[in-house]
Amino acid sequence: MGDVALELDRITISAATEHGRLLVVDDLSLTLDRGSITGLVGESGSGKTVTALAATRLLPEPTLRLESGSIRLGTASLETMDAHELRAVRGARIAMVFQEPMTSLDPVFSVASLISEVLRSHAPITRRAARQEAIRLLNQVGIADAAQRVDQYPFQFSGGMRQRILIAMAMACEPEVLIADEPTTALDVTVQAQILELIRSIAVDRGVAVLLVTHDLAVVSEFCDQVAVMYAGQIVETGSTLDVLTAPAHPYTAALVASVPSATQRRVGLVPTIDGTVPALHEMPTGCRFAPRCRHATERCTEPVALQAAGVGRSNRCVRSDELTLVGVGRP
Amino acid sequence: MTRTIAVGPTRTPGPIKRFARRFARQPIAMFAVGLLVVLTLMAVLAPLIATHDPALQNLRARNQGPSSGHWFGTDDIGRDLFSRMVYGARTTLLAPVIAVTVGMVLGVPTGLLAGFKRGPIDAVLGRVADALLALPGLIVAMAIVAVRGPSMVNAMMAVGLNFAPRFFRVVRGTALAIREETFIDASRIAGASDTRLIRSHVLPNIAPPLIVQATIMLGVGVLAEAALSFLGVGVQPPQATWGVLLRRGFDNLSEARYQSIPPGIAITVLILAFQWVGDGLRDSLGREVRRG
Amino acid sequence: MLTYSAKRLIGLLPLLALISLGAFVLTYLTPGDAAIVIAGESASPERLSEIREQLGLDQPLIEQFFRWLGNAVRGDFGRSLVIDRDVSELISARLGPTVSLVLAGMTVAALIGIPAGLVAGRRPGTLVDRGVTFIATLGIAIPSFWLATILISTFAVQHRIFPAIGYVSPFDDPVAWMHRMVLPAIAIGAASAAEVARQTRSAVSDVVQLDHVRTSRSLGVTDRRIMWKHVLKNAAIPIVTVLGLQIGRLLASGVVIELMFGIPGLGSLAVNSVGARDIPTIQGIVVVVALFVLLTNLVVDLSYAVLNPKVRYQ
Repeated sequence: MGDVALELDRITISAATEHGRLLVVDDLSLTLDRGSITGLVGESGSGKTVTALAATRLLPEPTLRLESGSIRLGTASLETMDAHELRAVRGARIAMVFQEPMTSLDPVFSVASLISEVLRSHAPITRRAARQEAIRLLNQVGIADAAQRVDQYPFQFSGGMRQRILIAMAMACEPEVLIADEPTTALDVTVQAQILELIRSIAVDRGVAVLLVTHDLAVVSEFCDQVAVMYAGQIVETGSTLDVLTAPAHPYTAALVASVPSATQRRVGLVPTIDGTVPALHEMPTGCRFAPRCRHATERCTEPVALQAAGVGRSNRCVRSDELTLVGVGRP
Repeated sequence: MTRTIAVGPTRTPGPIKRFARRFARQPIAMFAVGLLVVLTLMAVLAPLIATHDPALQNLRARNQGPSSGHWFGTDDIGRDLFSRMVYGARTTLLAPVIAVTVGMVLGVPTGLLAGFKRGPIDAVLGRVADALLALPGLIVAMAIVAVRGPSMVNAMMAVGLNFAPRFFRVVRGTALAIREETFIDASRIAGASDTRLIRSHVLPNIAPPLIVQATIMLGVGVLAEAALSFLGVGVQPPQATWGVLLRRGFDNLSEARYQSIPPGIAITVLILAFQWVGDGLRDSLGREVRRG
Repeated sequence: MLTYSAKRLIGLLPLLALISLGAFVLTYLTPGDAAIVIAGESASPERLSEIREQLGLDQPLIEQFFRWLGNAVRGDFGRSLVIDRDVSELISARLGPTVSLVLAGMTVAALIGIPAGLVAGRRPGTLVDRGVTFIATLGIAIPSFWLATILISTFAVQHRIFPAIGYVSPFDDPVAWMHRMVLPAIAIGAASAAEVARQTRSAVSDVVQLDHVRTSRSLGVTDRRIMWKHVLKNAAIPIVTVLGLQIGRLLASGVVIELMFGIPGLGSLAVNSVGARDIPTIQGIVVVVALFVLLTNLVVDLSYAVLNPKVRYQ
């Protein structure tokens, strides 16, 4: 456990829908420690990507808007910064890597030009020095022949390599926080592990606080030290990966664990699912949001449930957490 | 979770009604249609609306400004400008129709041929279309008028020739797309002839983009006729279109600065109206085309 | 790159050939005897046979075409039937003013259209965007010759700021040339500026929503650099395309504008030739104008290779 690099405190995000302005993320709090990878896991539509975008104030206004809460990066409060201050912070102190490497690089500029631009946006260095640094960064992320390839264009690189380039750009100014939103979802399985290893080395070797947003529990189990489980715009459980996955305290977490197909099931093509669907934004239950799909729901679950602490670094949003013994990974 | 389920058979309105409804919901397009209707009525009912005989000269009342006697004033030989505008609407509205008709007569069959048959016919016709498109329409029209003599019909047929490649391209594109559809192969196997296929499958599908293109080209035709008449190579006296009136207004600029304003505004409004109707058609027909 | 250019250049030839054929055919479109049409009903038989000989009407068709084509390739379009000079001489004398007018119009179109489109497209749907779009719609609908009339009426007749008529070569007196070019350039360029603004706006609003713009923003690149470097370069291809397309419109409007401002260019030559039925001159003008347009299209095509690296590597 290192010190806190980024702290999201009671974040609320609203979205413009055909039913009016509704909350997509409700009272979310999250801390990222230096040198540690925190996973933010949930189904699509849980609000995890929106949370990631909010952390760097990249929400597409006015469709999505940060309504309340604070984003503390060290002593700086991102939620009150103006455009000028944000520009200085982005890339230099907090950076982001997105899901679609194929479209995230400007196709009409060379890789050298793209990386240099990031460097020169934050420090007064010469073009030549920036180019040299770009080559060094490409080497660092594992691209062979960096000195030659730096002058090539994005379309001359594969998806995995483009993601490496994007990671190099993100780390160019040595930020303290890296947010990776499903960085490997669009990549081949063989490449996924390499990219995630790269991210792990960034966290471990350089002490960067990483937020890894994903829907894949397998990724979480292998690469994340901490995990926060999200459901319907709320965090329903947090803790160390080991604890949360082996002894989940929230039925949704248990259901997620159960829905990861075993090797046998994969061979047969069976993908276990969770019954029911995530409630629509305008039909959100006032009580526990997972209750309609929960096997263990009682009338107590119709009351609003707050996130409760359950030990050091652990919390969950289930009123029955003391009573239930949920099945996790490794437990029969 | 509540969701209403329709009970019993529901009647979906036919595509024409759907399109009409969608079109009616666009205020700008509807306004433009209204404008066109008003102008057409004005042209048709010209004898009833005009205040004077448009050919009547009154040399004692030359180059007068707007007054209660002459709403738009008089021109350089004393003719009432308002009446000339009203009667002028006739040829001004007719001319683009000639051009678009010629363009469609030349462009649609060739486009069908090129898109459906492909091969060397397509290559040659495509090249001819490209060559025609490379030349600015006005130059082509002037060249043809130079050899055939100045008249409204000659000028508009020349403009129509210049329009043809655009219709050709629209029709060819649609024909190509339809050709690729699998149901064409199925119909062919079932023994349908090419003409039958064209009639039953291709024609209904080229109608929407063709109508949109025709409307837009009507606007272009207005501009072309005005330009040619301005140059004196289109409509010949005693016929007058708004383009002719604009030219006279320009010639009299030093003596009467306002004379060019009514025809200028009228031409601009007419072009805008066709543009807006065309845009409205494109937006409301677009979904039908996509639905196939 | 070189092969790409060569291929494109060769692709022009069939078009040029077709256009030449069209120009040549013009002589045969005359209703009745071409010679009589040109010289008039009351012309003497000597004059008629003179014209027939000049036009080569007394020889077999194919021979005539190839003779005409052979001459045309060398720039010889015969002699004008109205003025006793070679058509090529007439055309080259008039080329300069037309080129300068078209360039001036193109400059107006680019200098007004591109920034307007950029400002409108960067924030689609806002008041600025809708305002620019509306003005652009008006700009395209207003005929250039009416705009010229208004400009002349206001700035030359009522307030004598600019001269209404006259042309001075930029090589003789650049300041006077510019002074006289202001009104014609605006008249001829306004509609093009509107079209360029529309296309630029469309292209910019598409690019602004792309993922890689978000990447730049997330890494702290300034908005100004994003707009003028990334967005503009990605939108460059549609912008250059629409600019290239303006050549046809500028040449066509140029005919009327040259007449109105007394500019001794190809356009006014064309108008005079039409009136006088001077077919050889018309033929020459058609071919030269076509060449103009095709070369412009070629330049636009080649620029794609410069602007988009993918095109180069294929």
